[in-house]
Parts: sequence; C-alpha cells; structure tokens
Amino acid sequence: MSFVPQLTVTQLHTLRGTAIVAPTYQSAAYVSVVPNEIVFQALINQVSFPASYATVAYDTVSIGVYTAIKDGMRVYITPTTDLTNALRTGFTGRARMNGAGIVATPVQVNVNESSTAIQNNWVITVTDDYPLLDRLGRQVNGVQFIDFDIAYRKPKPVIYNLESAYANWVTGGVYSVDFSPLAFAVTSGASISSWLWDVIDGTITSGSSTTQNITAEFPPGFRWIFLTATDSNGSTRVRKIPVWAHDPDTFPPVPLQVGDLVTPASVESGYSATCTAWAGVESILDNTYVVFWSDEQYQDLDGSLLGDNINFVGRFRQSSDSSTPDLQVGQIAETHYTIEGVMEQLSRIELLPYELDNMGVATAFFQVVNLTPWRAVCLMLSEFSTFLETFSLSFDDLTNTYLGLGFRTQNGNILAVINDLYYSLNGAMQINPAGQAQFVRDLRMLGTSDRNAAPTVINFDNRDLLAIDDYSHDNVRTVGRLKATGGSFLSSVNQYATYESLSPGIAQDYPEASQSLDRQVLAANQIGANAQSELNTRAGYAFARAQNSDKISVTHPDGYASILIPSLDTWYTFTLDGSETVRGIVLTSATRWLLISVEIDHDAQAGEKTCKAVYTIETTGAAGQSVVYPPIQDSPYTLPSFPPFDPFPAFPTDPSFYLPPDTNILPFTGDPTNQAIAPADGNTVVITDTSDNTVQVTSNFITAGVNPTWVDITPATIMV
Amino acid sequence: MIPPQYGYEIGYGHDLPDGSLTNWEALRAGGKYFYPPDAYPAFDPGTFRLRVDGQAYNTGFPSADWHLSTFWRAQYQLVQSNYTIGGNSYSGNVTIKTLNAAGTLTKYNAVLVLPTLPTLQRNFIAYRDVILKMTRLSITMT
Repeated sequence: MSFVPQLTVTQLHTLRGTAIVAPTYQSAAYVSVVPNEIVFQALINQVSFPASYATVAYDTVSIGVYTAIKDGMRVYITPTTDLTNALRTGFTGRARMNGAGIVATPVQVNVNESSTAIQNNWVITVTDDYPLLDRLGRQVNGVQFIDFDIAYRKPKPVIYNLESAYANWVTGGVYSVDFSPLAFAVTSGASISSWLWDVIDGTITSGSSTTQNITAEFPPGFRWIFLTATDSNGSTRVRKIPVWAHDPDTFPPVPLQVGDLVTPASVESGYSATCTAWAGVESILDNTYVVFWSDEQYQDLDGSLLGDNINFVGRFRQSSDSSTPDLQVGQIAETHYTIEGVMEQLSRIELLPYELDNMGVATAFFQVVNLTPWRAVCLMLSEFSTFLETFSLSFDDLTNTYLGLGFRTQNGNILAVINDLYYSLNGAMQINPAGQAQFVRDLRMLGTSDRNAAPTVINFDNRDLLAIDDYSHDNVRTVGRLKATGGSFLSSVNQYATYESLSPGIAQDYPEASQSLDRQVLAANQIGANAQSELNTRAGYAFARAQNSDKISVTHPDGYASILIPSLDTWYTFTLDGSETVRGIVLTSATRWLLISVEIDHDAQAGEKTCKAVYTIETTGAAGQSVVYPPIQDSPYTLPSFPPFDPFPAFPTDPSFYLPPDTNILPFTGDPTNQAIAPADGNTVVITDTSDNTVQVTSNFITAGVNPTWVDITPATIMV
Repeated sequence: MIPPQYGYEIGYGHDLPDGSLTNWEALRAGGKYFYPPDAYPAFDPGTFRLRVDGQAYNTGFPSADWHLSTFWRAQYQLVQSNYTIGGNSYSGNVTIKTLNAAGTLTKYNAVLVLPTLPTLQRNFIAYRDVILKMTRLSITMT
C-alpha cells in the first residue's frame, strides 16, 4: 500500500489549476504538543537498589493514584519535583507491565530495567506520555526473558493504518475522526479475532467499541485513546493514539508564526525537523512528543489534497540558543530546535546480536514458526522496543514465500538491524509524515509485472515545476561487477540450497570496482534452476542499480508538498520537451523515477511552502550468470556471503589440486556408498578406487544421496 | 450624517456566521461614524511564483489593508477594545467581509493588526491615513 496513490484528474486540477481556475494555495502551520500531564507523583521509599532494578517502592503520594499508571507511560525519578533537564539528572524510562500483567501496586511501580543511580526520597513522577524506548532482554538460568520478567509468549499482532497523531480544529464543538485500522497476526496460522476501542472522553458515533472501524467525536482538548487487537491465539496488541481537538478559544494550538520550520526526509532516514522557538516552548519538557500540522486551502477551498493534514511527528531532540547584538533592542535572541522523527528515534535503540530460528514449534523467544524476514522484523520491534505501541507498521508481503532456516541479527541500532533483515529481500523501512511505517522492496529490484503494478503518482510536466535545480548524469560506470549470493530454504530437509551469481557475468565489466549482494533470501522450496534464476535476476537488477544513475532535483510549487513522500515503492514520471535545460534533456512518461529525498520549508508566517525534491531514475539490467562453487558447508545455517576466494576464472590458487605432488597423492579417502564417513565439507569429493586404481571425482556427493555421479579423472600415468 | 454603506463587515473571532458580523460603516464612536475603508486597491493576493510553463502560481496568505483617510481617537479605541486580544493589544482574530482582487465582497478569517499610536499621523483631533492591516486571510468554514 503506497503512501501516495495515483492522483485523480480532480486532484491534478486542484494542484495545477485549470484553464479557467488559476492555481492558488495557502497553508497555516500549527504545533501541537503532548501536555505531559502528571498522572502520579510520590516519593521513593527504598533505601538500597540492586545492580539493576525493575521495581521501585514508593510512599507519600502527592498527585494521582497508582491505578492511573498505564503500561508504557513515561516515568521520571528525580531529586526534586523539577523535571527540567530530568533526562540528564535521574532515571527516565517507562512504566512496565510485568509478567503477571501488573504495572503498579499501592506500594511499588514496575519500571524498565535500569542501573541508573537513584536514591530514597527522590520524586517519582509519571506523565501521560508513551515514549519510544527499548525493552531489554536477559537470560536467567538458561531461560530467556524480555523486559525483565516476561517469559516466552506468542508474538503479538501488529496494528496499522492508523496515524501517530490526529490533530485539527473542532467543527461544531467537536473533532470528528474516522478510524479504519488494519491488523495482522504475526504468529503463523493465527488471525485477528477481535477489536476493542477506548476513546476516553470521545463519543463513538459510528460503529461501537468492539467494531474495527469507528467514527468518534472529541471535545476540545488532548487525550490518548486506545485500540486493542486480539488474534486467534489470544495475543493482544494495545495501540496508543494521541488526539488533539483544538478550539480557537479554549484549546488553541501554537501557530507557527515564527517560521523556519523545515522537514527534510529521505528513503534511508525518514523525516526530521528543525524550527525556531515559539512562545511557551520553555515550559515544555525535554523530548516531548510534538506534531506539526497544516490547515490548507487550494483554490480557496478548505482541506488537504489527500485528506491528511499531519506534516511531521517527532520528539524534541536538541535546542541551541544564540544571540546577536542589536543597537535598538540590545540582544536579539533565537532558539532553534532539532526534532527527531520516528526512524531517528529508532536508530538510538541499541541491540545485541540475536539468533532467530525457524522451528516447527516455538517455545522460546527467537524461535519462530515459519520464520520470514517480516516475522523477524516484527519480533525485533515488538519485543525489543515499544515502537508498535505507538506507530503503524505494514509490509508489502505477509506470506511464507521467503522462509529462512535462521537469521542472525547484526550488532547495532534496531533500525539498522531490521533494515538488515529486510536487506535480504532488497527492502527497507519507509515512513510517512504521520509516522506510519512500512517495509517495501525496492521497485528497481523487482520484475516487470511488480514494477507495473506500483502506482505512478503523477506525470510531472512544466506546470508542476518551479525550477530544475539539477540534473546529474554520470558519464561512466562506477561498478564493474556485482557478486550475489543467496539461498532457497528447503523445508523437507530443513536446510538452505545456496546459489551464487555474477553480474554482468564471469568476465568483469569496466571498471574494477565491485559490489556485493549477499544473504539474499530466495523463494523457499523451489527447484534449483528456479532459485538460481531468481538470484541471477536480482544480481542483474542490483548491478544496474549500483551504477551512479541519473538524478533530477526540482522545486515544485507549494501545494505539492503532500504528494512528495520518499519511498521505494512509488513511481513518478516527467514529461519535458527539452526546452527547460541547456542540454535539451527530453523526458517522457516512459521513464520512471523514485522520489528519494525531499525538503519542505514551511513559511508559516506567509502561509507558503518551498518543496525541493530529488528523484532517481529507474534502472534495470539483464540477469547475471550462475556461478557454481563448492558450498562452504553442507547445511549452512545462515545465507552465505561470497566465498573469500575470487570466483573469476583463473588459474587455481592451489595447483597441487590438479597436479598432485609425489607424496599424499590422494586428497582423502572415502566410501561413495557410505555418507556417514564421507567428509562433511561439501559435495565435491575425490576418491581413489583401489579396486581398479582409478581416481574419481563427484560434485554431488551429498545432494545425490547414495548414487553420486562419479567421473574418472585418473591421469594417464599415476604413481601407485 | 450616516456615511454610505458598502458592506464591509467585521466581527471578533474566526468562522463567524454571516449574521453575527457588524457593518463597519454602522460602527460609531465618539459621536463619529466609521468611514468606509479604501480597501479595494490594497488587496494583496499573496506571493506569485513563476512555473516552468510561464504561468503564475499564487501561494501564501492574501492580505488586505483597510485605508482610512480619517480615524478618530475614539474609533481607534473602539477597534482596539472590540477586535484585539484582551481588548488592549494590537492584533486579534477577526472575521471580515472585504473586497477581494476581483472586486467581490467576500468573507474571510483574518488577523487584524493595528498600527501603534506613535506611527500615526495626527492632525488636530483625528489621525490621518491610518492603515488597519488584515493579514492571513483565509476562507471561513461557515
């Protein structure tokens, strides 16, 4: 499901104007922040703490009651009630629902495991916020636990098609929102069985609290609402959704009148933002959740083009203050804020490497029935972070097509880990301004039918551009060869059949530089020829993609911001007749482009936006060539990287293999009828048959079973 | 003498329905009726950007200056009292009816910005050539 659909004729007219209606656009920009209401405050009542703690005792409650503390809420433990700089002066984390389903009791609060130093009589404060944080794993006596004491449980379902913020004006005293969530079960064979809404002070006007789709009305104010999806195994996911209903008099948003709001985005890093300070910003807590939204008008009609008014969701990351002397007012002070988007927040959560196993029955974390990259991603995000509790996640494929025997995750941040898992399918996480994430495969790595099935948002022509800022075209190739490796999982024998491929082929192309496409997960349970063909195709596409392909940087008119969401699964095309550039570049709709980065500069004071976008051209290439080498091991656990030796045809690095020395002429002995004593390191086996003094070789010692194909390679003269 | 009424209207707050706006020329302060603003030539449609096809793309907030050749002190105070935040500041959200670029009286949400007193030209007991700025014009939702 692409972030941006193919535009309708009506939408194109709205963007471009028509012969009788001139194009006009204006956009008021606003800021909404989570108010961080304190729901509970007390004093720590605990003299000593272990090396790491996950529970704190309290007394002397000054605000709220413990029953108001919900799983995932932000927790501060600080020397005083002052939460300014709380992130640097004490514990900051979240309330934790323990393995028994309890968040807090009359005497203690469960928090995420921490070793941060805290003291008796410090203040514990719980605010109405749900931060994106990690969930530590640990092992006790050989048993794995997540989030301190949660023993193995089946994977939770995932909810999507919900924004991570809903903010707008009330109309007629209420803000009406249509919610149409979707969800999928992560556990193989399970399905979504029930829904449960808690809209707090809202009123459901269409549907009910147990229907999937509802319309709800909210009075002025802010609240988190909750949606619980349950799968057929009884596993539940609770999604928290912030809703701001703004009234100009009783609950106004912050008008971004100072301007300087810039929201850059790319396919690799998602969205981020910078802005200048506004009145009242000094009272906002560090790392507060913030939403930028617009009130747009096209041709004097109120409303956004695609029905979505959220420009950015994120959290304050950094502030910087500066002042310059001025003769009239003394000092002109300015504060700039950096606000990190969802993917940037994810990239600050570190993980240790883990091993995920494909098992027929799962009884522990990291055992997954029908392990696929998408299930691995869900497991990592679900168990090691709180991401799925506040953000949507969807996939372009939820089948068991790309099964794996096992995946070892890399060491590093969780965004890199999950992108590395999907690298095996040439995909990555993408995110839209409203915080909805999806994993998609790069269209440049897919076949013709898949490419053609993807939407082309718009065919840009000279009405859609204010300027061509740059058109870059490389005159040379930058990569001369691409080495690909991958495997197809065979369920019947529970192992990979591995394959290797070279593009453009065994003869290297100009120049010398090479790239790799390792660890490709090929469709499972397919015959070898098809799997090899699939890898060859990927190698060819990857070789073409690896070149420094054409890029075009343009400035679009202001109203185009909402259709410019970088993603690897959506096309754009250009029709230019050559008069727009000195070099006379002619582009037609037959050439497709991917939007790889965009930068929107919101001038809230003037109601304008500057929209700069960079597109990269579609690439495609002929399939690579098959390369057959002895596998590294007979049943690799993980998909192979390319062998350390050079696969190009050349003299063997060890000529003794072909020219045996005088001693030890027999590489090893073996019994072709008894695999048990055969060397376990591959299918290529050389034996001497003492019955007739011949030397025989086979390349299918293991895969052929009891009757490998032997070839007599006895030299004409052999020393015996 | 009641001045001619051209249909300029104003009300405090955004998205006010038609019936709740006050006709500008019917306002009276210090015994003086408000004169109709000279607004038509001062409607600014916003920013024009030139597209590659040569056509203009109109973006940003329109604004309108209400030019008053004579504005009495009491009238200034009435406008400040009725149409600015707190009744004592220099701007406020208003709903107005004013002439747009096409010469049509149209209802807009706007932000009224009053000039400060030291910037006004005083001529005996009245101010001359006062400009009330109506900024951030947008179509109302009512």
